[in-house]
Amino acid sequence: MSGQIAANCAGLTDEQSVTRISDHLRAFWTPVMIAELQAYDGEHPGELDPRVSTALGQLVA
Amino acid sequence: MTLLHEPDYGTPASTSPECIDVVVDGIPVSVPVGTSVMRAAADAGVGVPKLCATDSLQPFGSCRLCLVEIDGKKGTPASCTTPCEPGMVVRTQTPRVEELRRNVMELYISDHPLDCLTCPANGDCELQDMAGVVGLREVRYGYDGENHLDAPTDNSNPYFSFDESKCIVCSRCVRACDEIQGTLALTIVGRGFDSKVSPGGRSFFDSECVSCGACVQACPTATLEEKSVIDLGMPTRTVQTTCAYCGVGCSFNAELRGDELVRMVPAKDGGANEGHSCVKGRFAWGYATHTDRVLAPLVRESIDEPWREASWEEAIGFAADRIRDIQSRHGVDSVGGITSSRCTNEEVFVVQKMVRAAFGTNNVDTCARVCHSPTGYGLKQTFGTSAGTQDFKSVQEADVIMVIGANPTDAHPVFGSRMKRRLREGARLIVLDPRRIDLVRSPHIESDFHLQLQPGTNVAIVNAMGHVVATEGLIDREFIADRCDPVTFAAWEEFIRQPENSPEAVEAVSGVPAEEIRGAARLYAAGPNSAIYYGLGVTEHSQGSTMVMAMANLAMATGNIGRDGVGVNPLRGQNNVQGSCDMGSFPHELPGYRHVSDDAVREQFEALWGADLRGDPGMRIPNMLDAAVVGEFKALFVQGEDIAQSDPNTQHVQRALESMELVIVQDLFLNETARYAHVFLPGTSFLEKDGTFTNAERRINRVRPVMASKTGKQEWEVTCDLSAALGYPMHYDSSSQIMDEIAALTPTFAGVSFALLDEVGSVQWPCNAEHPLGTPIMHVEGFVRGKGAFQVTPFVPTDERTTRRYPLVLTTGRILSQYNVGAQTRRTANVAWHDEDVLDIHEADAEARGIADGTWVTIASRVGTTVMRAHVTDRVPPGVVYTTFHFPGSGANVITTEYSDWATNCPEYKVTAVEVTPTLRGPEATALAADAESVLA
Repeated sequence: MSGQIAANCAGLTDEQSVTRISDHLRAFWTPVMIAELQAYDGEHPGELDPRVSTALGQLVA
Repeated sequence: MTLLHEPDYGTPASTSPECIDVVVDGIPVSVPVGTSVMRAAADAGVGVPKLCATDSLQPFGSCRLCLVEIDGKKGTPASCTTPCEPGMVVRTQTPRVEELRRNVMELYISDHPLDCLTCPANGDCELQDMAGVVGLREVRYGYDGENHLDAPTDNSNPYFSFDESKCIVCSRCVRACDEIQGTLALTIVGRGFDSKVSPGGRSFFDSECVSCGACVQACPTATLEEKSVIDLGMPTRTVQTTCAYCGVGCSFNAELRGDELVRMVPAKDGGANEGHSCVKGRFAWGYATHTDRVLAPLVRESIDEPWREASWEEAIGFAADRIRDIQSRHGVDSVGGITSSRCTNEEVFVVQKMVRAAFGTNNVDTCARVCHSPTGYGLKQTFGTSAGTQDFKSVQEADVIMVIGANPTDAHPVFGSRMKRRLREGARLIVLDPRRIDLVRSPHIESDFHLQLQPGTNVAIVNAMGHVVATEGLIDREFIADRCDPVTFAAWEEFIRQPENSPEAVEAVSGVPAEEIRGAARLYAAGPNSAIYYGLGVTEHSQGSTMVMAMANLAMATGNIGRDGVGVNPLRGQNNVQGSCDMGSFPHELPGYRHVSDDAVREQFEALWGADLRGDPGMRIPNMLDAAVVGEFKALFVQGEDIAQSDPNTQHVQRALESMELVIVQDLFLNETARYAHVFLPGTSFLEKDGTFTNAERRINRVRPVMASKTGKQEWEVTCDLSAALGYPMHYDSSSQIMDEIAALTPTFAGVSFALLDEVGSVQWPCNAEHPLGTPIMHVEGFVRGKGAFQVTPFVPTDERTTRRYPLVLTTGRILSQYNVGAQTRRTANVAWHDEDVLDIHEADAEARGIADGTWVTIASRVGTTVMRAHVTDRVPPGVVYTTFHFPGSGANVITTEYSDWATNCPEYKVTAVEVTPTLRGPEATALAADAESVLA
């Protein structure tokens, strides 16, 4: 799902994409779902779209 | 005909702004230019006798009963076909016209059965009325000559009869079929004495008739009569309410004898339907009193046990105790609820309130998740609010109509008829659909462009249209400068101009020739009024939200927003999809589409509700189901939905439901989901509900209780009981009070009350101090969000791909006579037209697989397999197969997959890779098995 969200940011700069992804996750995903994806990202580095990883990092902050 | 005799002015109103003065029977009256003498007389309070005239049809001038005398004019012209002229002096009652009328009526009656006292239309017959009005006292011709009294009766239609012996050949039925419904199923065959109404020389059932009831409504005699009236007798009272089928939201007068519903008659003053109806709303209401209905609560400890009838108190207590127990063991977020788009705004509002305030979670979602959630997302991103832009009437001003992924003549028939009327008047038509829907070519209608795209390529096509608009100088720069955000527009223009969005680049992926895309784009841009109407063929894709935004981009780029005849218009599937979304059914939004994280908004709700509300989004339906499968979600309240049949990947849904410790189903019937339920709370049909529905044009209509609740309770009362049992009582004495609370908390509903709706009929939100009578067309002066925001809409193909194993693409939809999962329509005589789901397959694909029309086939996807009959047709292109999902036996969603829209999780029902193979089942399999058994014996 996060990969789909990232794919639909095509045409945006990386910075814009990260903002859009983090806004989207914050608006529509439960905290548990975000935490699970963050955990997955931590356990499988490099597997998620880099923009998603960055967005997840912003959500932690 | 109808019990409630609404004013009938004889001919349609003229829309001319210019008026002229005439005198009718000494009464001066001012009427718009173009008004008929008959209508002017009606305006003056003078009724002119008539039979072939009615104000829903163009004047015809055949019955010769409405003759009048006009000073300075020769003869006795028909008042229906004679337009008023300035200074005209009309006399409607003179010895001359009175005698003529009696003579005309005498001729009619000389060939009409004189069984008025036993006729089903006794007391509701215009012929009978007019015989009295003209003072007919004798028929000099006798009844022995040649006549039609022994003409046959056609009872083939399940809902109405056609008694030819009573027909006066006024052509009202024929004209209603032509002008109102637009099917042109009826005609007059023969000449002179032999002329008669005929459904194309066949029986009604075998004809092109779609059973909309317009002919029955128009008939001034008992010739076309509802069978329910024939069986039960004439109704004695009327209650106006709103249909509970599709998102058109037609107003009906429910006509009853005591508490027994006799017929549903479309209301002339219904804002959405203006007197028209379809086979479902007009006739298919029998499910409401079907013997399958469960009227008492049921409980059981586990789903392996049989149901046990319980009192309301026991069932509510059982449910509440289990919810609290589950929450104590698995956490507050281990429970949730689903609201229903078939229920009223008030019923939905209290369920989402109960989930948020009593359950203490935002785990509430609605069936719109699986249909129009991308509409909510896409239109909010671009225009600022989650709703269609126009009223239905707006289509009458459209010059170009673009229908995308919708089939209005089947799924929204009353609006479809309105659209067809505009198309017959000359509006141009673009259809984007893999299937050749009826609109592509039907009587007097032919699309200018049918872009028969490969399923899943909507975004590519609409982007390509945007590319043409941008690169061929068709952008409305003035509109953009005035109304749109320049930054987002610049980004979109740069994106859309890129070569990969050109029609030539898109041709390969979509299968649509580039020149056709260019032609369609030019036509749309030329307008001058171009309107987009779309359905689930847009939203139920992995790019559903992108597509909604792409359409909004196109409309803004060409300036087709903010006035009559334009807009972006979702055709909502169920009666209250718009309303259930408005009422805060999504897990991230409170009523009025305000995010749960907005502290100011949440505080407003907390103050009124006296409860702490969560500021983080809850789970969507698929999230709840996924969590259930892994043991983290344990209890679900399901209001009026059948997710075990309607949601994708049925096996996954079933696993999730089986995994829960408590499933509460509130419904009319023990549906597929109830197989997994522990508590069944009987619901009320729309005939028993008291509340409001909001249709696809944001029109809030009253739903009035036609009869007492058969369960003894309104559904909102049951919800309140459960909430109270959970320790959070909600205090309402009536559904009107719930609407008052909705109005107090929801800015777009601020002016809405039952009192207002009862006074003015209906209003379209926003309805507030600024728009006290509602807002038919949105974004007129500016967008709700301020400036329209273009969105970059890259085409990202679905991950669902055809393979050598699954080489065909399955897409799904709806058929006219059935509705959604069929829970309602399967329990009516509509099964006469469609009693099973079938698979449409192109003859090339059928032949390659050895499949003949009508034989059984197996449809297999990577997630499941089902069996249904094949229907070999060229309506679908090679490589694409199509079916409906109305019958649980065929279970179309057994084969649909888990793929969904990237932004909203709306399932990708419209693209599933499948293979179709011949199989043996049903009668053939049964016969073979019997043969085998006999051999063994």
